[in-house]
Parts: sequence; structure tokens; C-alpha cells
Amino acid sequence: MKINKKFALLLLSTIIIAFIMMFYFNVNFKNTDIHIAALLPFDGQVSNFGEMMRNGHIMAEEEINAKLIHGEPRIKIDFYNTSHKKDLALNRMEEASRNGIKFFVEIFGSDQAAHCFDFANQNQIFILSGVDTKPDLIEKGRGCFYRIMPNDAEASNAILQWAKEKELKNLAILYANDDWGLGLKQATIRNSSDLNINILDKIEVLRNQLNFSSIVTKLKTYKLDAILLFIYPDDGGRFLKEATRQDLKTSFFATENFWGNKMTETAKNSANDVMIVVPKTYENENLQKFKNNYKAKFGEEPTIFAIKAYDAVKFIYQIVLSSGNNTNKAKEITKKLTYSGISGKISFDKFGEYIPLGYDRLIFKKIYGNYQPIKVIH
Amino acid sequence: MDLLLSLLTKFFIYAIFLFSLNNIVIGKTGYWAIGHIAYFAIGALFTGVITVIFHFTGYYIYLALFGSIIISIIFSLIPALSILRLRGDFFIFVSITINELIKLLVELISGPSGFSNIPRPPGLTTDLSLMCLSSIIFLILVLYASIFKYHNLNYITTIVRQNEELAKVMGINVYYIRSIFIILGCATAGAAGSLFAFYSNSTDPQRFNINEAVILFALCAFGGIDSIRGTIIASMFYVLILFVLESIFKGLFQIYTTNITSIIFGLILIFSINFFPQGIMGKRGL
Amino acid sequence: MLFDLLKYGFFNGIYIALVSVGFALIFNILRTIDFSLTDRMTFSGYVFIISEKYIKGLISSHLQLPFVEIISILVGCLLSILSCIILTLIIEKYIFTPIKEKGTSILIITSFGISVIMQSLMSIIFTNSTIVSSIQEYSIPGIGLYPREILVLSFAVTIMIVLNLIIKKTLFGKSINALVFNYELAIFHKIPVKKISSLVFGISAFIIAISGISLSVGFGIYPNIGNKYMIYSFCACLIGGLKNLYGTVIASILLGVFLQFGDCFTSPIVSESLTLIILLVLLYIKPEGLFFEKIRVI
Repeated sequence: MKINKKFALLLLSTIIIAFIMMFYFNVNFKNTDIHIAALLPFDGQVSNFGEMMRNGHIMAEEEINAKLIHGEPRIKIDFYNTSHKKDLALNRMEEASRNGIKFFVEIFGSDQAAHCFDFANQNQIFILSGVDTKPDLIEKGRGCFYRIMPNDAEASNAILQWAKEKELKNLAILYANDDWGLGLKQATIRNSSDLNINILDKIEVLRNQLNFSSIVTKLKTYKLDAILLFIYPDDGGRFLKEATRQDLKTSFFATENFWGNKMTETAKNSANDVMIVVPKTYENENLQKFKNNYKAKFGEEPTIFAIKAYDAVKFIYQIVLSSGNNTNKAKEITKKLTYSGISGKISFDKFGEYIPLGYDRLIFKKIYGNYQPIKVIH
Repeated sequence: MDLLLSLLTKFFIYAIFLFSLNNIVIGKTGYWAIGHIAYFAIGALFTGVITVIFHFTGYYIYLALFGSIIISIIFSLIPALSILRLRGDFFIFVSITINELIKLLVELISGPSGFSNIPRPPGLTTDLSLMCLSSIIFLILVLYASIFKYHNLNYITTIVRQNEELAKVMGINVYYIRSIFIILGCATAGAAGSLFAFYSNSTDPQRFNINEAVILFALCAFGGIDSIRGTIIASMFYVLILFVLESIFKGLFQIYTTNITSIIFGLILIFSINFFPQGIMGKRGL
Repeated sequence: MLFDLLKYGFFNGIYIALVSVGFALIFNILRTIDFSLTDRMTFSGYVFIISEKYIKGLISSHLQLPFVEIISILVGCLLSILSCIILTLIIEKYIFTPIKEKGTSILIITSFGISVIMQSLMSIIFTNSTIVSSIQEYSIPGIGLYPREILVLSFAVTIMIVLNLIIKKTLFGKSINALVFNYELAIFHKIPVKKISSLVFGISAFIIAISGISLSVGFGIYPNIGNKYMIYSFCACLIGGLKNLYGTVIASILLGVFLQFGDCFTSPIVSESLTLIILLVLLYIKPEGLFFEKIRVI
């Protein structure tokens, strides 16, 4: 009896396997389309970045498909959810590669991208990213990885320059304890000695940390001029709220990831006067048009993530067309390409690193009941 | 083909782990070690430390496999000592505490997103060879278990589990017998963790949290305590369910995969533990 | 600085204490810890955020009432507490009561199963990211505390006094004691076991809902938030001794202060690990807890 039961179960499971195999390998794409994959986080702490970037991708995809002249292939972006985890990102990349996708428009997260490079190089995969900012990623990618966002060293430099202009001498750093936060922290420490700025304390912040009261109490004992927040936006919001409660009166600097509604939702009134640096965008006709379309479609102002995502899709479409869907050729020609996107000119140096255009300075102010970042002219 | 290979590898690794939990720790001692996944974490963590932090290369990477077994044995002394005084609920409490402690240790050493790019030793670089190694380990375990059935020690463990007082009267060192099996189980789990780190090239601390532990415990209850067939079918079921859900929920809906898996196994746990305690293949209840 | 750490540590401990009291109350009925309690806390927080937002929109669009915010907060609290109590009673009636006789270990595993199911359901419905209530809080100048925290503190003190009075003075409390002391004898003497167990579960749900609401306003809620509080309160319960309500509360507050100091001088991971190590050592040496008269069977 026992053996029969087991046998039946095994049989059932093999039938299931066979069924899935048939289901799995019957998925075929139309050959005329260009298929591109985007690995984004749609749940967890950074899900709002994933949403914003997806919005940008969709805008670009629709625009390219609408403006096709005869004979050009359509573009189709497949979205995969990585949950901001490394092994899941690699699994998704393998899945996309099995489906015949060679061009990746995004892998969100520096550690996720770094984890996928070995697989990407083995399978001739080309990655273009609009967010990953850890400095040594280009070197680690060995040709398969390009980005259109300036790296962390530039961002920390921009913040420190701003602090120096405001004559702020004594700083403290709060950093998220992952690759991104650690990279920013190290870059800042390296740059600060050149600019004659003292870093008094470096405090590690966990993911989803709730209670910041002890950190704020500790920070109150120093005589601080400013605090640099290299943490995720909801943690940042909780920290700012706690700082207001305990009357910690300093100025706060952060990078572009505070842009979006997540930080202001958590911090509410405490978001006032928070300063962020954002990769420079030049006001032009196309950018204005994009902003209007975006607002009409999604009901909010586009952030830098949506803008860069839009540019990335358009740029990778150019690369695919000019390389004839061949990744090895794409890796060679990308370095020499220049492309003027809505965020400005995109070009690369001889190592394949993006040539930065400088940084915008933004301050959070209350407009019509909501806190929004406003450009500072300097 | 790649797909089948990765599924098989996953199946064998989970089967080794479930064997250690189901057939060694719970099966032979009768102690419900919910937090047994901690030893899986230790194996993975040690492999990461050896390869990523200390940069061992070449054949030295095999040291990770043996080292993780030894480290697991060292850490298994914590629950092994605890059974001197505690049993029942309090062993479950100790087990949960150890699980949380090890999870924090993993987070402290490897950071919140864990190690990445763990290299494989020469000879194990392809998925096929990794699959072969894990299948060989699993077969050895199964063989050992089927021989062990007729060993004297098996009768002794049965007495110890079913009637402790009687065992004491018979002059059996109850504590010694139990701790031996706890240590053996933890060592096996450590080996499985090391293999898993090689397989997935990374260690994610979120994989070792209490929910995952509960799911793996549910698999034991589902398969049937102390039954090898139960272990095989339960781990096959787990791998297949994950795969089926992943192929149903593609793209944006991949969020639901892990959650629906958790719901399914939560329901299985509650159902099987209360109304179906011998599981699919088991001969005795929990 | 020292005073600040003590102050915020104390209020941190109050949160832990509320959950621990819930654990300890349920311990009287089930004779073990119900680990799904903290997920019901998360649930009540979600209900509060959503109902408060919805009611505020409803009132401001249809009716012209003064004090819109206060009304919506009160109604949100009421809805959240009610839904938490109903959910708890459902779980108690259809899951815990039928299997109570099967042994405490099975109850623990079942509660873990419920916890996993609830967390997954919540993360499907509300997604995994943190949701914060839209209420703007203003701290009391000079003291550095929110009015909410003082309300929670006064609630905790009242509930402790009331619970203590109930258990010492009323028939209900005496029947709880009887149940704890000798279950079979209590049934033999026709003590209404089902009624008492529902009442105790209801009280625990009320306490938990308050802490869930406070959490959702203060920090925000995500589906796995319960695990964190579960571990802390679990430590506090075992350190304090489960059947001793005062011991549990004192242990929780001590734990809160300890965590606050630990976070400040080391790092959160280190202080949490230290707590767990202390718990482990305590389980080895004195499993019945620090503040406890020896009744419990190990």
C-alpha cells in the first residue's frame, strides 16, 4: 500500500514536470521585435524606485513604438522583479537569458549588478544602467556594463563642495550598511581630507531600522555643522522625524535617492530644508515635454530616476540598432557613441566610464502643502 | 536542460538538509528543532568567509565544505548542552533563539545583503558536478539510514524517545545518545549550507529567517517524521512548487511567488500537524 | 545624554511591555507563547492607517464637520481595535480551542504557521514596503516626547492596574488562576473555560491593537515588523517569568533601556545579539525566569 502511494505521487510529480516543460519551452517571441529586460525591485524597501524607473521605461517604449518609420523593429521591455536581492537578480537574469534576451536596460542596485557580471560575461550579455553608482563597477564589469549616472565619488564630492561653500566644517555620516552606502562613505572620507573637512562620526544604519532615538542622542553630543545621510529614503524619513523631536539643529545633506515621495511621506514637516545633490539636467524642450507627458500619465513630477530610465531605453535602442543585435559589437561601439538624451549629453571615456556633467543642488521646500525639491542657483 | 539540472541540484541540497532535520534530529531524538536552519546558515556563512574574506583559491576551497561541518559541530554544542535541563517547549525556545542569533551573526559578518560571487573549487565548477556531489552525499546518507535501521543503536534511540525513564532504568545514557544525534544532524545541515552557497554563489541572510525555518519544518511534517521517502517527496514537492509558481507568476507578479509558497506551507503545517500527524509517508506521528 | 537615553529607553520598553503583557495573558490560557500575536499587531496597524485615511477623505468631501482629524483618528482607532479583537477571537475559536488538548508544542508550531500565513497575506495585500500614517505629530516642546507616547504610557499604567485588580479581586480573575493552577479541576468545578479564554484573548487583542496603532503612527508598518517585536517581547517574557505580569513589565522596560544604551554605544546588531545571548544563558541557568515564584513545570 505504501509503495503504491509513493509511486502514484512520483508519477504525479513527473507528469507535472513534463507539463511545465512543455509550457515553458513553448514560449516564443516574435523575431522582429527587440526584446530588452529590466531587472527592478518591485517590493521591499526600494520598491518606489522600481516603480519610478518602470514608468520611465514605459514612457520611452511607447514613444519609440509610436514613432517607428517603416522597417525598424519594435521594442519590447520585459520587467523582472528582483526584490533587491542578489541571488534573485541572478536567477532572473538566467531566466531572461533562457528566453533569448541579450540586452539589459537596468539592474537596480550596485551589489545586484556586481553579482551578475560573471554570468553576463559568460553569456555575452550587455547591461546599461541608469542608477548603479558604485565606483568600481565599470572595472568589475570587464566591458559588459555601462552606466549613464555619475559614480559615488562624484556625488560625495558635490556634497562636500556644497558644505565647504556654506562653511560647514564638522560633519557626521549615516550610511546604509550595504555596498552602496559603504561606497559612498569611503568616497566621502577620502575626499574630505582634501577639502579640510572633519568627519566626526560614522554611524551604521540597518535596513528598516525603526528606532533612531539613540543615534540622535549620540549625535547631539557632538557640535555638528551638518549630517550626511547615505541611507534609504524611509529610514531617512524616520531619522529626520526623530531629529526634529529631539531638537537636533543642523543641516542635512543627501543624495538623489531622497527624491520621491517616500521620504516626505515618512518625515512630513521634518523634510524642510533637507539638501540633496542630483546629477545635472539641462532644461530643454524635450525634457519639458517629457515632464508634461509624465505628469499627465502618472500624476506626479518625474524624478531623476524616471528621466535616466527614459534616456537609458532610448540609448540602448540606438545601440541595438547600430550593432545589429550583436552584443560583442555593442560592447565595442558603445564607448565611442555619444547621444544627447533629455538629461544631457551621454558620452564615455576610454575606460567606458560615463563622463559626468556636474550636479544640481536642490532643497526641500513646502509648495501647495507638499514638500518638493527646488533647484538652487549657484 | 539547464533548468532540469538546477532543479535537481536544488532538490538534492534541500533533501540533504531535510534529511538532517527530519531523519536525524527530530526523528531520532524527538526534539522539535524549529531553528535548525541556523546550521544551514552557518555552513553558507563559513563558505563565504573562507572564499570572499580570506580569498582561498583552488583546491583549498574544499576546506570550506569540511570547515563548515566542523563549525556546525562547534555551534551544535549549544542545543546539545541545553537538553541537559530543558525539553519540550523550552527546547523550541532555545532553538528559536539560536536561529535569531545566527541570523544576526550572518548579518554582522556578511552585511545585510550577504556575500556574493562565491567561487567554486576546481572540479565543482559546473552545475553537473555540483549536482553529482550533492546526490552522492544524499545517497550515502540514505544508505547509512537504511543500514542503521538494523543497528542496535536504533533500538536504543526508540526506547529513549518513547520512554525516557525506562531507558534510564536500563542503564542507557540518555543525554549522550540524544546529543550525538543533535550534533550529527547539525553537521549534515552545515554541509548542505556549504553546498547551497556554492550552488547559488551568494548568501542572503533573509533566507535564514524564522519564516523560512517554519516552512522547512512544515516540509518535515508533510513528508512524515523519520521517513526517508517522506524526505524525498517533501523536498521534491518544495522545489516543484517554487518552480511552478515562478513559471505562473512572471514579470511583475513575481512578488507573489514567495508569499504564496509561504501561505501554502503554513496551511500544510497547520493541517498536517493537527489532523495528519504521520504525514504522507511516515509510520509514526510527531 | 544619559537622561535622554534613559527616557527614550523607558518609552521603548513600554512598547515591548505591551506586547509582552499580551504574551503573558495568553500564556495563562494556552500555557505557552502564541507567536502570531505580533502579526495581529501589524494587522491592527494596517487597519488603522487605511481606515483613518479613508474616513478623513469621506468626512472632508461629504460633511462639513469641525475637528475632522480628531474624529477620523478616533474612528480609526475604534475600527482597528474592533477588527483586531474579531480576528483574534476567530483564531482562538476555530484554531486554538479545538487543539488545546494536544499539547503545548503543537500549539507553538500552529502559532508559527498562523504567523507565516498572516505575514504573507499582508505582504500580498499591502506590499512589502513600509506604510506610514499620514498624521502629522508635534512633539511637546521642552520634553521631547509626542502626546501619543504619553497616552500610551498612561494606557499601559491603567491596564496594569486594572488587570491586577481584576485578577486579585474578581471572580473572573480567580477563575483564571484556577485554570492556570489545575485545568482539569477547574473544568470539574464548572468554570466557564470557553468564556474566560475568549475574554483573555479579547483583552490581549485590545492591548496589542493599541501598540499597533502607536507603531503605525510613529514609525510605519511593514509585514515582517512583528518578528522584531516578537523576539524582544519573547526575551522579556522569558526573563521576567511568564506568569508574573509585573516581572514581565519590569523585564521589558529594562530590556528597552538596555537596547537603547546598546544602540548608542555599540551597534543595533550587537545589542540585539547581546540580548539573545543573555536570554540563552538565562534559559540554561534559570529557565523559570528572574522574577518568578516556582510553580511552572519545565
